[in-house]
Amino acid sequence: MYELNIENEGVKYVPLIEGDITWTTERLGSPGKLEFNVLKDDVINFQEGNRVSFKMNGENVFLGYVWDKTRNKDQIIKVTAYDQLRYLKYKDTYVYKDKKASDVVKMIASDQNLELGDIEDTGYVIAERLRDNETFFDIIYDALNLTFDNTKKLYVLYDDFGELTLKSMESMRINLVVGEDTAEDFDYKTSLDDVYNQIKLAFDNKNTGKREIYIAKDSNNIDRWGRLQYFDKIDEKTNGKVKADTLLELFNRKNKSLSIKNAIGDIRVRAGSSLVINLPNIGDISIQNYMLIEGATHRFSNNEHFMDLKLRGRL
Amino acid sequence: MQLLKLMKRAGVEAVDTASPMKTLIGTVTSIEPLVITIEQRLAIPASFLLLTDNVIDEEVEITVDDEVEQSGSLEPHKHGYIGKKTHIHHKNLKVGEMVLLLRVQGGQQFIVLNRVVSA
Repeated sequence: MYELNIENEGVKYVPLIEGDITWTTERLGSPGKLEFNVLKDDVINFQEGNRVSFKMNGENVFLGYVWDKTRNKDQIIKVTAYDQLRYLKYKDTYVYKDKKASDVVKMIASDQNLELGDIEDTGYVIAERLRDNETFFDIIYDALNLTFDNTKKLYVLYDDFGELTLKSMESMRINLVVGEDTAEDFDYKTSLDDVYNQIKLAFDNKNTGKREIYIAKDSNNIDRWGRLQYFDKIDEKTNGKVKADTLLELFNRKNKSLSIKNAIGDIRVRAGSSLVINLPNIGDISIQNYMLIEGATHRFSNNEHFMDLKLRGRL
Repeated sequence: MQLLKLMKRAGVEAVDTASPMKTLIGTVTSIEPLVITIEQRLAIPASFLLLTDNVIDEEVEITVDDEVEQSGSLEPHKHGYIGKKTHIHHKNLKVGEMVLLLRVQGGQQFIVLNRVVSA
């Protein structure tokens, strides 16, 4: 059983819902989205900006704000609501000093009056940064990218029922197995796109006037796939050899993407989390592994809950 | 048509996010420490600024071969003023001056090219 409320100036409405309710999350740069159709009656009265909360079997799923209303002749109002991440699509200019990415999230949340939840300490301190006329999303992702470059740790920014939340990707593993018996259909693709089996990093040493080159490679995979080279320039602070080795470890694997249709729903599943995929009999390789959720779409009807997932990983 | 517009806008925004090289006009709002403000919204602190020798005090060596005239208690007479001399050109920025800035790709460095005035 689900429960959907819209609050307009202190009055809570329980709208009559026509059809499915859809909840969508994406891992990067998009707010969570709830879409539903409201049957217009004499009681219901709501506006853009009103708070929408959605619960499933008593558990919190989505808290956000009415954004779009589309009406038609049949007196059905199609509503799109976004969570507060929507407010990170606006722009400003920031110059900051000695802050961690987690501090940047807190700073922006406090300046924009966003509700803060659990913000994991990202550790790495960014000495100084200037972001001019950029979306809050871009300012935060820039700080998270700098953190990744220096710590190799990935973080997920999302809204947890009305609270801005930052968590490391590894802490977002869910104890849930999706496989052949729990999903209706799937689509599996392996590719050499974005795969590199040789990493070449160049550092222009200003003191000696020479270019120093760091190379890490996997000769077996070069024989197999041809040479797929990643090239980048690095600055003094980074240790070239270590960085080349780390990048090789990260990129020297086939890129796999998997989309799953109509799996049995679980509200813990959102973009940024990882779950266990169990597809033992597909083609040349079987997957029994954690995969990262890039996008998740949940569909709720009266007594049913299904989800479509886009997943990514490397082999 | 609508889609084309959206794509164009998305393209422009993608380029802007990379902070490409761009010229800007700024005003010097502080000297110690140096701060240059653009469009009254972004105060760029010294650590993001690179100065060219157009805007810093510079020691210049010049060679002269000239005379100076001296008057006073004696009859007016001339002295030679010849050789290599060291001059200091005081070109440090002052509060209120307008400058031409070049933003380096990535938006983390701004080169102060020179001061400018409205014609």
